[in-house]
Amino acid sequence: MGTKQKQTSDKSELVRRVDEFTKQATDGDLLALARDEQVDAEVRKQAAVMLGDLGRSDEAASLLLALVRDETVDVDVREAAIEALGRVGLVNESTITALVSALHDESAGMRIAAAGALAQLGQVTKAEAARLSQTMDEREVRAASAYHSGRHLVQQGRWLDGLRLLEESLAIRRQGDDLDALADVIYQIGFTHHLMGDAEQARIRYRDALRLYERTANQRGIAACKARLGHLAVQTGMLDSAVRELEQAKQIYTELGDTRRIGDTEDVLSLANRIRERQPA
Amino acid sequence: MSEADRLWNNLDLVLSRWGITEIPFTESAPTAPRQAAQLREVFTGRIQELEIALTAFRGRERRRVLVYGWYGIGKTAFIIELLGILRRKAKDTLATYISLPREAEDLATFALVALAREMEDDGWAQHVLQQMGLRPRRRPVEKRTEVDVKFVKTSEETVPVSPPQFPTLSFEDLLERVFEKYKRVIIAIDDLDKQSPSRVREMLRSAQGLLKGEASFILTSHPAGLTRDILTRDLGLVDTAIQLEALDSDTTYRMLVNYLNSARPKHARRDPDDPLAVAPFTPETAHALCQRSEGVPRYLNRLGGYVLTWAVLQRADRITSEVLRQGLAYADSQLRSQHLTPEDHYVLELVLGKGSVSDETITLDDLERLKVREFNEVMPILEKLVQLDLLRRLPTEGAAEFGPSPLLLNEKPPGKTT
Repeated sequence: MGTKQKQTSDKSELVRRVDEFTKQATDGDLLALARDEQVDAEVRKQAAVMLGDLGRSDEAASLLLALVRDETVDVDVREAAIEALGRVGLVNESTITALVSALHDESAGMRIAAAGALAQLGQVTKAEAARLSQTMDEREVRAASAYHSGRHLVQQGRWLDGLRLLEESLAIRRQGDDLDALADVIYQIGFTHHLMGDAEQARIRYRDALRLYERTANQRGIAACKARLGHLAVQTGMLDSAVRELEQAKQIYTELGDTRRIGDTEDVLSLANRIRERQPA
Repeated sequence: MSEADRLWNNLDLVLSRWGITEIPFTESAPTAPRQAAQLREVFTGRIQELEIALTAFRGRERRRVLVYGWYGIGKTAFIIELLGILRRKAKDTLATYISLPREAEDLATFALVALAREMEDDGWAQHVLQQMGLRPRRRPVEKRTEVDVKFVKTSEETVPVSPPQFPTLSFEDLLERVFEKYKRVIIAIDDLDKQSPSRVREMLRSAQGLLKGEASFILTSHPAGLTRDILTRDLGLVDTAIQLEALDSDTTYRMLVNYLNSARPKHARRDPDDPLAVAPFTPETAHALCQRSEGVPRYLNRLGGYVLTWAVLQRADRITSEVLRQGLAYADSQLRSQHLTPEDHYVLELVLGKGSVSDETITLDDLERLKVREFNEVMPILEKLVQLDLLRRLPTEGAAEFGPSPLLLNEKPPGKTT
């Protein structure tokens, strides 16, 4: 016990001194410090965080990732590095892959940190993050990680790879009773087909998700499906249907007070109305 | 004479009394070259559509033609007829056909196969077929000659099977050889819409160079779904799109006349105004059959086949209204007794019970009764039931809607009749 207290006290002192140092250090100094494997992992993490604060997100994320992946590093430092990754805010494939992989870690702290970072990076909602970090159900973790990784790949334009993971998540979700989670993955599959230009598949999936959200009275989900169906209808020239769906989506977003999505929906709605006005009666 | 022989002779007697030698209806268009004459005999109408396609291929410019229409509307028959005309009339044109198998992963390989099959005299083309494990029109062998001081030894080896490593390049090489003999090459690739839409997209994307190259292409598709969209809009791959719609009632009637006469080698009666042209049907029952088929060649063929079979079994002299009514009931019972799983039955009953079902109108309760929670999970069953002619896809904008096939009776069918 005594030794551990001493170690902690030494470390605090070290961190304090590093803090002092970093206040005066140049970017180059910090980079050199963070890269120096002879230096304590905690100090390297601290230097990487400082680099992130200075706007050098790429280097910071890359150095933090190296710490997260290094299983010889103290788990507390790895957890802190994960949290820092969330704060750095850089969304790229390697970060998301590492965070999703950390969702499987045997350490609950690592899983919690990963879920939190994914939420900070906008990859999951806070509610999902809370659920993810608490769950010990292997299937749940697999479904969630396939879902988030799939979504991320789709965002990167790797549609087919993303779709494969989303279908994997769907296969697990179908066996469970969480209708919202099932609807979420179906919605994402629909969105992927939408991006790929497969209007029919997209429409079928949005409607499948919509029915499930309606069953659970998930207003946000209902609005999202209606907004997408409206968007799709504009693209396929079905303007009356588009306006109907978009008006309903806007109404729900208004009730939810989601100003950003009200704006997005209004943009598509006004496009639909403009096209409709130009069409011969 | 055995009982079976007697049966055979009795059937002969019925058919010969009707003036026909066989039941001439087929479910799918004949695609084999040896069946070309058969198709020519029965192909009817589509004059305007043929004119558009033939005009497109009279120019110097290579063309990419999309033929689209619903299942059973006669897309395959149309392109086979089109290719037949081109083969007969345009001697400087090499026209070839291939139906894309479900396991296809790239268009270049199948365009290559279609081309190689047509080039029977080209050793390299036949070698390509052999390499892919396909039957060459002429069996290629590798000849090796070794000259020794004392004798000359010649050996022959069968070429080992391996798919082309660079199918697009192999296709281009072969195309160059074709252009030494022909001015124009037209490759019809059928059944593209029987693949999954995402795979079609990938195949078309990777085949853009091929499709925009020196050869002309004809592709077929359904009016709904991805394929037509990406062919016509997204990828800009098509310069002529031809939609095949249901035939009008006169054309359907003439098609029936042609089918019956294709089985009447002697004493053909092709004038639609001649009541005997539709024998053993009467003009009234022939018209009723055509009306029931709704101008869809596949429906005419299936119903015609069932009704004639029923009439043969009844040893009917003519297909009267009563025989037709029984024949249609027989068709209904035969269609319903095709091999269906319990899930197929549930879905069929749901559609028949509701009149129609779509991704828009189905409820979660309906789906849960089918033990699923997504319409997407029901789609493969609905599509299977369409293939079995129990359902049909309705031309609904903005929804995948399915209703009963017109081959089924509206009322509850009688018990099995055989």
